[in-house]
Amino acid sequence: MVAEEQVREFMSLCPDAKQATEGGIDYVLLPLLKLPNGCNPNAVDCLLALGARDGYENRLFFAQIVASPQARNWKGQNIRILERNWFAYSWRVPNGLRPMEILIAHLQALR
Amino acid sequence: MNDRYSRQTFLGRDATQNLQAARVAIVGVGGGGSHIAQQLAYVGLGHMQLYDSDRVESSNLNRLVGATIEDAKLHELKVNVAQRMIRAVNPEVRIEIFPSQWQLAAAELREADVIVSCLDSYAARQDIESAARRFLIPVVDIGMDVHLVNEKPHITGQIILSIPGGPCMKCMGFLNDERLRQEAQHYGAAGERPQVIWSNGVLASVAVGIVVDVLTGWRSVPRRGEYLHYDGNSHELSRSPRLEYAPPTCIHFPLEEIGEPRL
Amino acid sequence: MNIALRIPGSLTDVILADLRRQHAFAYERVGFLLSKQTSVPSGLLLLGYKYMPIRDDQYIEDHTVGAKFDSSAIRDGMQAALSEGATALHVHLHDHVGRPHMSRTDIREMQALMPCFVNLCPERVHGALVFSVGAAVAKVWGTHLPAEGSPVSKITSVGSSIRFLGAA
Repeated sequence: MVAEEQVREFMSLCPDAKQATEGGIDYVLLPLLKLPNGCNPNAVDCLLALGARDGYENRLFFAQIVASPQARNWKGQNIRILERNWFAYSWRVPNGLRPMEILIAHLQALR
Repeated sequence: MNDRYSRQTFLGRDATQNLQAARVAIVGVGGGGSHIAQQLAYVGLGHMQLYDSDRVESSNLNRLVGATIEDAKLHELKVNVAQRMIRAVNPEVRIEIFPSQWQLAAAELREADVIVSCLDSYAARQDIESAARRFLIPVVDIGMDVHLVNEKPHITGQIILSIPGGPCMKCMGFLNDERLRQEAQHYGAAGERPQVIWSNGVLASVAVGIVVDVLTGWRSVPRRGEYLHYDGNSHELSRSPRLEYAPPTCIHFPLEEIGEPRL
Repeated sequence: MNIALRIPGSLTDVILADLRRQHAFAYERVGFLLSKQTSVPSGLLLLGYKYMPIRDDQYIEDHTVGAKFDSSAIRDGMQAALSEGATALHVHLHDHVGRPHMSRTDIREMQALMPCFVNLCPERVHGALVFSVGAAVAKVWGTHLPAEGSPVSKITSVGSSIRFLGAA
């Protein structure tokens, strides 16, 4: 489970943020998360995995592939989590950061 | 009188009826899945859902059951090959084909009684098992690989039965962070995913036996799941001790976390 | 519309064990099976996940029927359906071999009871499930379903094997 105060922190960025668990991994759903400038679309549903999966310590998933100033390798396509399909690029963020810091580090990859 | 199934009456009085009422989804109808589709048609399964976005290539012809040279020339869809083969064996089977990734036809997958996973990555297995657990669907998973051991090729494989409530592939240690990490970094085995028909056949046949047991209960042996190792060099099948050490009930997919998530 | 019900094998065993327990005066035991409702292309899939037995003290002594329970039992079932976002199925057992059939009393009682559940939680179906030895039958009521209820066409108990309790 993601701690309440951490979910509240996400809500300051994304008011409808919700937590969920599947397969023993904690997730934070971030509906219509605003993405860095220059991204298209500029807001999209995102899902932050706060546990190891697919060989990553943590991972940020997007409801669709996003065009960004820094092109990314969208290796993960149609990954089914919480009964939706998600997309993800290859980007490693080490553990040991706060969940919000993990999110920001993932979004940095798009700048 | 139709005595088609007269040789398998030992499966139980209701077995033929149960098999005919059952729906099995085969995800991946390549080397392993094509065997499974053929065998399930023979045993009288009533309804099959076939998922695969791939097309036949000439390099498949050493193992893709039902595929012909013409299919390779035409780059025929593998699901079409499987459907044709099933119809030739048993025209009464109701067949739904999905020439796509299963994730793009996930709603239909919910209706399967059993999912047979013949996918070629650990990450893909993780996802399909996760989806299956949500809808109380047992998964039978098979896979083979060839590794170099002391520079010599060694065939290995597995057959796993993951039952809702029982230990999952993570509980059994088959799916773990190290394997997923190596896969993500493209660490591979010998060659371009080597595959041969006889190993696929062994794995597929055992998987079909497990599917039939799940659908008929003919052995009347309660179990929490199954995890069988295949050694293709010594031709041995053995039960993995990991199942014994797995927790009695799944620690990753509690039964309360079923159905569509409430988000 | 096809409606299917899947129950984990371990839960089926719990339900049947409870339904077989003797009660001080009731001839039958009853309970509620909570299920998650999900849409599938052919209709609805109900996934049983929790069983709520009616408590001993909630039964009312009435020898004209197999079992009668008080309003607190109904309230508990409705509360659970509402708070957990679940479908509630009233469950009891006809302890004989062979396919069970809902009696006229069963149907009359459910036609009176189920609209209360549907009115409270109209986005889901609710209904009744009757087990026998090795078989089951179920019917559900819902906002867009006929007033007499709709049969559940497939009932399976999923354990180390799948028990097909109600044939498709």
